[in-house]
Amino acid sequence: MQQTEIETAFAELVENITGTQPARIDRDLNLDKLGLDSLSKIDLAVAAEDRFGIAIPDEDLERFVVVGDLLDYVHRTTA
Amino acid sequence: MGPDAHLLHYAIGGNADYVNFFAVVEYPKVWPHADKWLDSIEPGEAAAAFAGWHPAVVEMVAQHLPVRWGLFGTRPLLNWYRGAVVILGDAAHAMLPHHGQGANTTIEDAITLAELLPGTALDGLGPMLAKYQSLRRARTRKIQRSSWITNSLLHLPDGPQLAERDQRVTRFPEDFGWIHQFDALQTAHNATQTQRHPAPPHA
Repeated sequence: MQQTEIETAFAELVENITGTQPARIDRDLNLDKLGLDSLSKIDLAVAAEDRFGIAIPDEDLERFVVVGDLLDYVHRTTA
Repeated sequence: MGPDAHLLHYAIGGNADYVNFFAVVEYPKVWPHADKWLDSIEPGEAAAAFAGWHPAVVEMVAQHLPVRWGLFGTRPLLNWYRGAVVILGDAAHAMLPHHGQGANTTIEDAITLAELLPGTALDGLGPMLAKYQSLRRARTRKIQRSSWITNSLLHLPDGPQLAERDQRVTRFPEDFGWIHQFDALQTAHNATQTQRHPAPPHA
């Protein structure tokens, strides 16, 4: 899957869950700044699993700090 | 609560004649049996684990407790159905018991299926089960995770983290309302209404 496709789809998922406009989302944005705590990150992970057809285990999810961490994980896992 | 252990107790029976208690210790870190989740314990082993605790706790565990149960969870599953076969409850999302939600989430699963299933033709089963899974997977995974985190919080060693943990306990209704105030029937009902009456397309 292309990086740009992932970024576009991911931005839609974030907008659905947090209401954040896609234009405000960039790779360096801290997930905390999106209003995501350790539990609401699970909403995003489950939505990303369904959208991209991958598994995002809790222990990987805990390590993600910025948006780019999650995007890179999706890119690596769907490659 | 104490380092590597906690004990929960409450009165039961018509006249509250009995006390039920649930004593949890952090060991063994790796359960030694692949084929069973019940194990015998040596006389005095439970008492030794709670030596020095409040006298009421010491009294409760002083009697011989013949067995211990291993506590297990499962990793979150991606798929809860295949063909016409669907899973629910522990088969889908086994969790540690620290939120008391194992049976409750199973009933929520059942209510969700019961709300979605009527009127579904056999060839519509796949989309219906996908809807069931999408309504249930994130919620149950969050409770699984929260129960796991709670296990650590209940068993903290002595130190500065205790004050923060105890502060969190005072916010229980605010922090855990999402677990206890959830209405599975209404959520599933809303999903069926959205499905039957989709929002009009944007002009």
